[in-house]
Amino acid sequence: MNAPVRRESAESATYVVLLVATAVAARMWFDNLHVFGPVRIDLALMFLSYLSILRGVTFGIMAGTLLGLIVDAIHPAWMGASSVGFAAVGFFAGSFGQALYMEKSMARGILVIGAVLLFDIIFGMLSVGITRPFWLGAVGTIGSALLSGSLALLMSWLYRQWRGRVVSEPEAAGRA
Amino acid sequence: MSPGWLRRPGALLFVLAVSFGLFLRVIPSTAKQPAADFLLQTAYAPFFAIRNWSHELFALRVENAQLRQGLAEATWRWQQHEQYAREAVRLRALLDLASAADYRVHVAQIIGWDRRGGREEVLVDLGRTGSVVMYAPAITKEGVAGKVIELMDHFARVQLLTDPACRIAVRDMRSGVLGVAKTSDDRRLHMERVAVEADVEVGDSIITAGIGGIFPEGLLVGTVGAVASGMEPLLLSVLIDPAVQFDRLDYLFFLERTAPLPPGAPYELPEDGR
Repeated sequence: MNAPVRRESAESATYVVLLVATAVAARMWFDNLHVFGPVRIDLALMFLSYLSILRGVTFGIMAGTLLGLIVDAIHPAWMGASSVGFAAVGFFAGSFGQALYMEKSMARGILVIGAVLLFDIIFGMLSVGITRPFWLGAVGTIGSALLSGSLALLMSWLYRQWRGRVVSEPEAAGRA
Repeated sequence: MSPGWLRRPGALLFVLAVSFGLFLRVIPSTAKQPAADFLLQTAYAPFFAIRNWSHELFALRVENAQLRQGLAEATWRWQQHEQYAREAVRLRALLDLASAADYRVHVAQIIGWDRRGGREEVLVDLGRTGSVVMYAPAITKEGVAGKVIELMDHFARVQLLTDPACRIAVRDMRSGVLGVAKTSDDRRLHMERVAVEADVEVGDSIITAGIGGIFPEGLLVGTVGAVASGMEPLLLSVLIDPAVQFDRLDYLFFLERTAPLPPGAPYELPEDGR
């Protein structure tokens, strides 16, 4: 009776571990993949958005909170800001994933754009002490949102192409 | 009555998460530091280890490349010093020789070989302007190599001891038996004109006799390799192993005599020995 539940919990734990590993690795090695000045690709945020769509609101909020805590461990003064931001992204992506039809690549790309914007707005409000011009922050946020969204769209499209080929081959073999 | 949006799935959890985050945000950093340290030590530690390991690996690669380059340079310098050491030993031996026999030494590099028609000659980059004289003995650290047979301003042609036309008056250093060193048609160096009853043994050192005014006395020519009856009934066939390794020649040293030559010298040894 409990086997499906246990399997689902194990899957969730695996996803959380992968999420945390991605976030930590991206933060340590790639400095959040800063591409052009303030414009960045936040792999952890993209990963969290996708998982929240797949696993639901509860998973998104809990994973986002944990992820935020770990990300902020490097800067204890801001601890809590990323946590709130990621939790909001988890809630946002999970809610839309359940309420709307998110199978299309375009929809997922737009959702990632919204997630990045939401996170940056929340983090910008809570992380008092980061001194940089407003326009620079705005450019960074919008650029990051568009870049991450485009990347998400591309990855989703590539995944669908690959899955379509994997699915169609047995069907073709069956027809033959 | 709770608001409607709170009844949405996960809304309450979201409120709790945001409250928790805001609480963390407002409390002092000193209170958050232990939690941050714990997270760093648990979540970040494996990645720190991997990063340090990868950095160390990269640094080792760079260091390894530098060490390889250093090793190559050191090997090259060491070989150069070995060469200097060998040259120093050779030059010291020549200086000793020159001081003992009132000879000056000139060094020349071999720039060409001439083996046409069975000849064994070399061309060196030192000539008349370098104080080389006609028939000057050409030697190496090991012993006699030949003599100058053609002199130009900046070059000289040297007939090697392995040339069949080259003849040198020699002596058995142990017994004093005289003879003529000459390379025969079989390309082997022989001591000719040695009487059958002469005291010549295998292993004896053969040195220049100092007869003829070209070669000073006492230069090593080689050692006796074999003694046998010769083609002529009253003569021995004495095979000499040359002291000089003619296939490894690079430099030659020319002796310039500072004392006057004896009357009539230099003169060639006659082909028939009489």
